[in-house]
Amino acid sequence: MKIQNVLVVGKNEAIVELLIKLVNKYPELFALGTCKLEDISSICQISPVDILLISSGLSLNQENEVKQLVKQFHPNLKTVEHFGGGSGLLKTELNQVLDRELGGI
Amino acid sequence: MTKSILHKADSRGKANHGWLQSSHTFSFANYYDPTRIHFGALRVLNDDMVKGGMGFGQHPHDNMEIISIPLEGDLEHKDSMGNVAVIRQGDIQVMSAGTGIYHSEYNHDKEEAVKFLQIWVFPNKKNVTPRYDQITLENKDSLNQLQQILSPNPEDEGVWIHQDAWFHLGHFEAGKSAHYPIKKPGNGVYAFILEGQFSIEGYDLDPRDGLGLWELEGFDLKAKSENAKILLMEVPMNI
Repeated sequence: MKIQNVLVVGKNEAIVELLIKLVNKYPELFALGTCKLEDISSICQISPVDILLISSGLSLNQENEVKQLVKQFHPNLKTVEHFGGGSGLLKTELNQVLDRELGGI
Repeated sequence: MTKSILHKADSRGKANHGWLQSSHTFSFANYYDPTRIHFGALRVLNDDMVKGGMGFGQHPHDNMEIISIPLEGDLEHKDSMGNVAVIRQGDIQVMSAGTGIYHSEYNHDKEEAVKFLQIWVFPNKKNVTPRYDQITLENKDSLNQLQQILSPNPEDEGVWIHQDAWFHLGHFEAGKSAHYPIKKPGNGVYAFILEGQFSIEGYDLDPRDGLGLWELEGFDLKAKSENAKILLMEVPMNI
């Protein structure tokens, strides 16, 4: 089983922390995250990223900048836009991205 | 030509946590069906029953319009904006989670179960300032007619949300009917039967059945039993 690495990015620290905790409950996934956009480059240099999980608080421009930046390091990146703040929607959102490769989680 | 999708009550996803029994019309938590993710901007329709004294501890939400409608019993709400409230049958509560909100929901009664609908609609604008509101509906306004309980407009009847959505409740006697005209071209309507039987667009609907209709200008509904109650949720189909 190939572990998928998830980078969580958002502005609400408590929600980003919760999302990391929730994603790490899945054995197929490993999550890290940040609320500081200036840290993304250094994270991408040292960590593989398969899935970018966008949380709340980013403007549309910031979202696009983050996506482009992470893609520069990891061209096969898949993006998940998360709604609900670590709610019951997270599993479905991840499943939709992983369905083809892993048959869901 | 009108398009439609029927979700019979027993086809919904089930969750039984002892203190919480929930039926999910759309994929939620451990229920995942890739063919049932959402109906346009309507993302969650959970039919929840919480045992006396139990409830959902503090948890966050963001970027979602969350509507709660108690069907039986009272629900106690507390949130990070300082709101403390009890919502009762006949009330409707709305939260715009926006940039992030923490809240808890408990059954206000220590003995009797509370039954309520939890409805989540994708917002048309992300990262709005969180807000909370609740109102009490006049029961007589929904007798043999459709009563607007939610709209996009703060000045209009009912509560309002950040989405071009309109919700209506109706409580009908057997044989009574009503016409629903679409408020915004392109929107669809998800009809959810609360009690009794209805006939809509050739479908016979039983309690907790859901019928999605889109690519239409309006439709007629008819109550096929006494004490028939229905919730109509008009939402944008393109999100």
